[in-house]
Amino acid sequence: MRLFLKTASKIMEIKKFLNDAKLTVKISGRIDTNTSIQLKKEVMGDIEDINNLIFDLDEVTYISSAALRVFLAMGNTMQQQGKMSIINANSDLMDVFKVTGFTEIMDIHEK
Amino acid sequence: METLWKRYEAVPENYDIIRDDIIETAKKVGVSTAKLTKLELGFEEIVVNVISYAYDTENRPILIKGYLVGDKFRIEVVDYGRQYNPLDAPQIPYPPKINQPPGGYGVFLVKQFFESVTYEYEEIEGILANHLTMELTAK
Repeated sequence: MRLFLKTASKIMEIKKFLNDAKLTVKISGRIDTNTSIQLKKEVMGDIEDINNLIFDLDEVTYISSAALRVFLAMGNTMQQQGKMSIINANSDLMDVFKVTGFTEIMDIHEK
Repeated sequence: METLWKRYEAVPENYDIIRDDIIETAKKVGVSTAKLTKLELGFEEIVVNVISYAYDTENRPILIKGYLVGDKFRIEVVDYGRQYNPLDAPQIPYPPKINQPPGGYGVFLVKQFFESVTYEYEEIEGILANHLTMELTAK
């Protein structure tokens, strides 16, 4: 697995690791209205040949509805070409995923 | 105790300042750390909506106050933009469908994480305004 991209702003950092057709996106910081735009841009362009997309939220401290929109869009795309998982979500993030029903339709794992 | 309005310009570059002010106020009156994330999430949805959609004019005021009422932390958000009740937004399905339109989660989360959310279109400081009031238990 190799790190092929790292982008960072003051409040969010994205590292992408590619291993054949598996892409792991490790995110740090906050996924809010502003940074979700960056996240979508950074990932959407790289998943054409991916059949396993993993979002590692181990160092994510906050997600807003804008993040949910990104995950839903990615999930929709990946449903047609493989699978998508969200891992290492802390309890606050899990609260959001649970109340919105995302845990019912996505493969989401608590830290 | 109810406080005075804080007035900001509703533009994207002010969002962090607006958020930090309400979080600081909430911390000062003793809102628990566990509740701060929920508070911030709901607050972001409402304020970003105002910033994004309320105005098509250069004058873009948004008025905010946060204070304790008994054991509840109450946030009031006012704008003088076009009349809009965010609570009228269509219900999203539960559980969602993977291929559904991705919108609608903002207000949904506000309703989930705040125990009370009310909207009125009424005069605030002599001008008709969208007035949203949200409360959650502070501890």
